[in-house]
Amino acid sequence: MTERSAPAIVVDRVTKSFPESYKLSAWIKHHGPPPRRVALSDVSLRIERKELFGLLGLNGAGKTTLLKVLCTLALPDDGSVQVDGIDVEKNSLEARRRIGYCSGDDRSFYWRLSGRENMELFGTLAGFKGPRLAKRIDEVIREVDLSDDLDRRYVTYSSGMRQRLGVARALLHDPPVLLFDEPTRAVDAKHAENIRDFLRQLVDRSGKTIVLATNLVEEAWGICDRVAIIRRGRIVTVQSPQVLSAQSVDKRVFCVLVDSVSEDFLARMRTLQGFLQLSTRPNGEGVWVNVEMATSTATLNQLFQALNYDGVSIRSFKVELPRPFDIFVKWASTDAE
Amino acid sequence: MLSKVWQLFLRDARTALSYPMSFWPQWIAIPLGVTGVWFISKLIPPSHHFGVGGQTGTYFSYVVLNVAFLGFQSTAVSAYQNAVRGTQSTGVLEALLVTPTDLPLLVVACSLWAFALTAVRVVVYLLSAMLIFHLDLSHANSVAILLSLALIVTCMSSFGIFSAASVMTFKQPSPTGLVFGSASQLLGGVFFPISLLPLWLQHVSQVLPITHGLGAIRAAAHGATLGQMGPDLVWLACASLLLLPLALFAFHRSVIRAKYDGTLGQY
Repeated sequence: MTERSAPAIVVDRVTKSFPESYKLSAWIKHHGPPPRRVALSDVSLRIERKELFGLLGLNGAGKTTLLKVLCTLALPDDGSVQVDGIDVEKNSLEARRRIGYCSGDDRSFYWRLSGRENMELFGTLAGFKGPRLAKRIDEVIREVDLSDDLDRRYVTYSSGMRQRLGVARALLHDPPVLLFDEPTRAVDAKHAENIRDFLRQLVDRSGKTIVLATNLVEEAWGICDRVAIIRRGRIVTVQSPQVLSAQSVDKRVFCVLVDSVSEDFLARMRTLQGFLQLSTRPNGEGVWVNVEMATSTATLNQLFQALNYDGVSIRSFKVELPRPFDIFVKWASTDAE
Repeated sequence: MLSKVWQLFLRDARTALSYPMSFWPQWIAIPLGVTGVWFISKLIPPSHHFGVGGQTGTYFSYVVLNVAFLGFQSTAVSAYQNAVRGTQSTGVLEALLVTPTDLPLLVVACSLWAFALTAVRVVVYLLSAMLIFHLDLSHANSVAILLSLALIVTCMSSFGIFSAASVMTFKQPSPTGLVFGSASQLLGGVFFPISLLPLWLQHVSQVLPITHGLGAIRAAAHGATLGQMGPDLVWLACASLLLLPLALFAFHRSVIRAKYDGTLGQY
């Protein structure tokens, strides 16, 4: 296997824990080091090159910890991590050359300096200088739509602008691997959409590998090639959103718009094979009848037969699949096998 | 590498200058401090205790030189811990550590502004003493002063880096600064010659780097050659060679520990 075809990121059985307390009194109480809280447990991942990989999980699931291990800010208790073929623990400096990290923490800039001064500092630390640095700053700043505000002090930026400057900083040294921790948090809808489009373009056009930790299920579903759902430090599934959606279709909601409904009609619906639940919602044109049925046994034939029994006029019909949010909640409340 | 150092220096300069009401008044306070020393010195007659090599010297020149250069010790002890604590409390430490920059370079560069500011303060302090109160430094051996200064800074930086390691591990400065500040003023011969101390305290005084540092500075200011300052300079060089690698190792370990415990950005 050539180096270029090797995965961009390999996480091999990483376990990470943190002390439950840092106080001296805890050491005295436990007659030694206090117990540790497990943040990541036996996590293994392979993230391919040119992949936009999502990390989804509830608060405290371990998404940020995993990103910090990837970008060398936290060391694993056990296991190993390779980024672009570099072991991040053994060769931290070289690994950091290949990583751009956007922490999502708006305190990670110097508030008394302007946006440009901040970018000049971090760009220089990333290895750029002179006209090349200035050109690169202009390029990345244009991408996040901050060109007009670059010479203002950072302290005067809104939360969303700070977030966008963080995105720009991660891109400064043009690394092959980008790690984003909730990059659209606090960003308005328009700029959030721009950032999502931009991340997707970074993968599709520039060949970057991106790991995106997010709480926004729709965001992950919308742009990620694959998502890993983390629960209590364990990865419970890794799949593409499409596969996760398809796997999760164990029930469907058939929505039928009819002129009117009677009690007999509703009773007949409840006798259908695979029936789970029923609700009605009147609207101006008639009544929406929503019939939730198990995918394994329900058939459209029997549904339409039941609808035709009394010669009901069908004005409209649609099938609702489970929402990404429902799929996420299902997985996020399931322990790994 | 130099561009990285320069950018970090610029960052601190820009931040300091963005607080004009605290930055500029400090320069007015310096000549006022020198004036206070001058009035106190009028009460104390010239003595061989204040001179170098058995010559008679004035209390004014003795104290002004000591106080001026004591600033470098204070900066060396506090600059590194302030750099770590400052970046932790402002939330920038992780952003700095994720850049492809060597940690020792970051630590040193983050303290450069403090040293530069101290250097300018010392120059202003000495210029005030020379121009207003006619302190005579015409015989000073500049090369010897610079060498002594470099050794003081290197040696005391070891204690500063130990203190930064303490901030990284325990989230609070080690008592090094307090101990050195108090001990130096009492036993390092800053305000009075150590020859006035009881003999056993004089032995304790000889263990303090500042005693040798200020001794070398005073001698150089009075025109001593490097050869005459040899014992003090060798003492400082040996202490630096012994302590600096230990301090850097301790700091490196403290960062590793913080990365294991997840406390890198905590303060």
